[in-house]
Amino acid sequence: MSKPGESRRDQIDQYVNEQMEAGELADFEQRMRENVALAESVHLHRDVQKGMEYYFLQGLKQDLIRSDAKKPKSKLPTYLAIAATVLIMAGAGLTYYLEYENRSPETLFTAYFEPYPNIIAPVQRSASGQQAGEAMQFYEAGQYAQAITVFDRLISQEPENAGLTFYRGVCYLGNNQPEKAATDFQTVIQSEDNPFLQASHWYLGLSYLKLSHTEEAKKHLAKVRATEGKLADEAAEILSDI
Amino acid sequence: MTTANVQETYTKDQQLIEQIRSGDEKSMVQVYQLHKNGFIHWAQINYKIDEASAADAFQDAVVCLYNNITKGKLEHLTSSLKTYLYAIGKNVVRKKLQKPILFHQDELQIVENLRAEPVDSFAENDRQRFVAKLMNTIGEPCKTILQLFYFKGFTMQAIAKAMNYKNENVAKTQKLRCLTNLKNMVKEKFSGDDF
Repeated sequence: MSKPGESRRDQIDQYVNEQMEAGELADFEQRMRENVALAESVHLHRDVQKGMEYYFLQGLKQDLIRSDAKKPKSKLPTYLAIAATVLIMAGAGLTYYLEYENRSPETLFTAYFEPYPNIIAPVQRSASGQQAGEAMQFYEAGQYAQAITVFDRLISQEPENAGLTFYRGVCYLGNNQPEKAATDFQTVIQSEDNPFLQASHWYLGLSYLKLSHTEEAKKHLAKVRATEGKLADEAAEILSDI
Repeated sequence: MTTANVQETYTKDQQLIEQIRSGDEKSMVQVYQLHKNGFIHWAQINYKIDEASAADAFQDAVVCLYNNITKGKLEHLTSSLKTYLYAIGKNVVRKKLQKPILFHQDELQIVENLRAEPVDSFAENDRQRFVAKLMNTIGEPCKTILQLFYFKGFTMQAIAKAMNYKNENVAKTQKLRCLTNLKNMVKEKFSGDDF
């Protein structure tokens, strides 16, 4: 059974998304003409939905722009053209250097590292829930050192919580501490049954890239490649570049 | 181009459309990378615009294509994907850079039936632009929940699974809370304004 207000919300949603049936549509539009508050609720809902759509489409455009930056291989012809000119003066060693620079573990790490989305819901009303919310606020603001301090406290209380250890690992990586990051991701992958397994192999691979432990990085990225989704595709790209 | 080649291109293009419809943004990036250089080169020669403007217009064209596909406005291709992208891209150049541009009949049909405009014009008023700004501040999990529901068309059950919630009721409550907060912030900012 619908809760009070739920039916009206659903109707507004259907109207804005043009999913209302013809008979109901005429009746609803008549009610909008008679009820200013209802009409305003509809307009507000439409503006909020369109504003969100605009925001997410802008995000997609940024993804396209980022995809240009993530293509180290595409820069190669330019590098090689420069190298060819310089070669006449400086000899063959430079070509190797430029190509290596383009695909070096450090370059690949920089091109592919970005923080994992926050999927921890700050809905708990407990003290630890509030602290997790605080840690995630630092995390989202890129204030990794402060986030790590809060995560340290939380993990001492809940050492079995894979989510806390995972996000602290990402913080370590963002804070240029790849060894500590690797230790956290190693802990998370000990348990096969957690939602951060694929992402932990991914970040573990990136941690090893940052540490220039290429063979270790390959091992974990290959595990990600064998799965599905965006990270699997990106792992395949890195593996083809190493 | 032989009939077999045309058929092969059509099949590949249609597959990309299906993948984008299923929410695979990676396919959108693939489409972008596949046609980007060609479009930039072509637009620079034909419309005398610089490389950055051509790239910007093409990014808008790909975003429009994605929006048309996910909104169900483009289901089956009647021309190659490249024709669609170039037609949309031309219209973006026309609107963004105020260029007088002629369209072929098939291109006209595309830009008349689909959304083909600069991404900036997707926001129609100040209230919508304000909502977009607010999205940068609302944090998680609200941003992801609203994205999954309103932009990617996930069901509440799918959202609950993706967000690791106990059940779809928890997801529904959380979504309602996020949306209500957003609306309250908008109402507070625009109270008294006539919309």
